[in-house]
This record gives sequence, C-alpha cells and structure tokens, in this order.
Amino acid sequence: MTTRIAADPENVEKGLIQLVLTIVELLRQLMERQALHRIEGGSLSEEEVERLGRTFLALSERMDELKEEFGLDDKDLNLNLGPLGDLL
Amino acid sequence: MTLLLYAIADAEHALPPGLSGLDDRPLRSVAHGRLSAVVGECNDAPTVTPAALVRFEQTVEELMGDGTVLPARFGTILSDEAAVEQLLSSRHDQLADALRRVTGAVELAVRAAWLDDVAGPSRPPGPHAGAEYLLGRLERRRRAEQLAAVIDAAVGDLARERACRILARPESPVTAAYLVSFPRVDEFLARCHNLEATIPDASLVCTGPWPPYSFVTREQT
Repeated sequence: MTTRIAADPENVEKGLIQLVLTIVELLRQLMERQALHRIEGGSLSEEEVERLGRTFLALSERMDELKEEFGLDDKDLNLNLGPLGDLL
Repeated sequence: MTLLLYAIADAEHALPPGLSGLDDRPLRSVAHGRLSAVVGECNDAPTVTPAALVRFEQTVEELMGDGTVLPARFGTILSDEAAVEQLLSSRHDQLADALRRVTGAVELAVRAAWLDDVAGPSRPPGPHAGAEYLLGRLERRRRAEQLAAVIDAAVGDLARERACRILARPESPVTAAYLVSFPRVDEFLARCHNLEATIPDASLVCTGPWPPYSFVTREQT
C-alpha cells in the first residue's frame, strides 16, 4: 500500500506553521487536562488555580490570535495518525 | 495504472452491475481466500476534494447496500492487482475478523452541539478570571461526560460496539459512533429523536446508516 503526497512549495511555509501550532495546541490541551485533573483531585490551592487559569487563558487567547493571523481554524490544528485516529 | 481501494468484502460479495467509482471508472473485485477487494483504476492518488469524497462515500454505500463491507480510507492506492492480493494475503485473518465483526451492522453517528455560546459572554478580566476560566472548562467537561452517559443509556443497549469522543471540538460535547445491527436501526433512530426533546442544553443530530468507518480503521490501516 502506498501513499503519495502532492507537495506544493507555496504551501510549505503555511504547512510548517500549521504543524507547529498543532503541536503547541496538543501540549496546551494536555497541560490543561492535567490541571483540571488536579483541581478535581483537590491538590491545588485557590491561588494556584487562579495562576494556572490565567496562564491557560493567556495561552488560549494567543493561540486564537496566531490562528487568525495565519488563516487557520480549529479543524486545521489536527493530524491524522492512521490507526491511532486523530491527534486532537 | 494504479488501483484505488474502495472496500474489502467477503469473497462471495457480488458487485452491483454497472457500478462505477471516481471519474466514472468501473469497479472490479480482486479475490483472495475468503476476501475480495473492490478496486477501480486511477491515474494517481486522488485529490481530496468535497466532490471526490462524496463520490467515494456514495460508491462505498452502494457496495454496502449489497452486503457488508469494510470501507477503505479515502486515497488508499495500490500499484497493481498483485499488490491487492498481497494486501489480502498478508492481513487475511485480521481483515476476515474485522469483516465478521461488522457483518449485518451499520454505523450510526450521534453528534451533540451546545445550544449556548461556548465562549460565554465576554467581559473584562476580573480578579478571579483565571479560576473562572479553569473552573468553567471543568464544568463544561463534566456536562459533556454526563451528556455522553445520557445518550449511551438511551441507545447503548441497541449497539454492538461504540466509539465516543468527549469535547472533540469546543462546540461538540459528544461525538459518538454506534455499530448497530440492521434490524435495530429504526429503533435506534427513533430513540435518538425522542431523546433530543429531553436534553435542555444541547442539540442532537443522528446520521446514518453509514459504512462502519469507525469500527474498522485499526484493522485496515
């Protein structure tokens, strides 16, 4: 079974940005899930929840700005991992 | 001339007469052991366009109408018939098991969407904006998990298998696929329809029957 990729040089830069933002989004979601898990477990103080929340809020807003700047939306920030399904 | 794979079926699966695929190319079966692969000629890997995806999907659905098939992932190409036979040979038992698993069943998809604004009302950041953000996310995830449980309680007993994603997108609390035997499809759709009226904060859309894409991916790829 073979898979062929039609590479378009003009899209390489956008593709690279898309890949980088996808990885950043993956890390953001993983960290956020970890934070939610810790809140549920009661292992964070109110101050820590506030500080973490502000960090994730800022990161989320920055991601929105970058997506808009490069003409990407949520569904662009994903990778199909074949048998493992989608990354996000 | 390369071959585009549409589906894998039982060796005795008969192709509907005159069925064609992308670019109106005729389809044919390549058999090996208990399996057959439905392929059509193509010049190169097909370009992913909405029209091509719809045509591919319609073709697989027509194949499904004639008996159970394992739908192929769009764009799976093989160099020639020998490569098709090699695929069927090397994964024969795995594919036969996957086919048996979905025999007599179809996929029904259930997708929920929040009725309220996902982002919530915008307001100037207050002294507890961080906590409000995180606790809001936590609350939304809990609501999504509760909704998934409600859907599953309503229709889960009609399904052989299920695949469910929570908050795959911010606006979609639940994206689920159910593998349902033919005789139970109508009841599944009716229950979904009735269920929506009981859910206050999300809309529910049930689509299908589809070829069982969500239940064969692991085996086929």
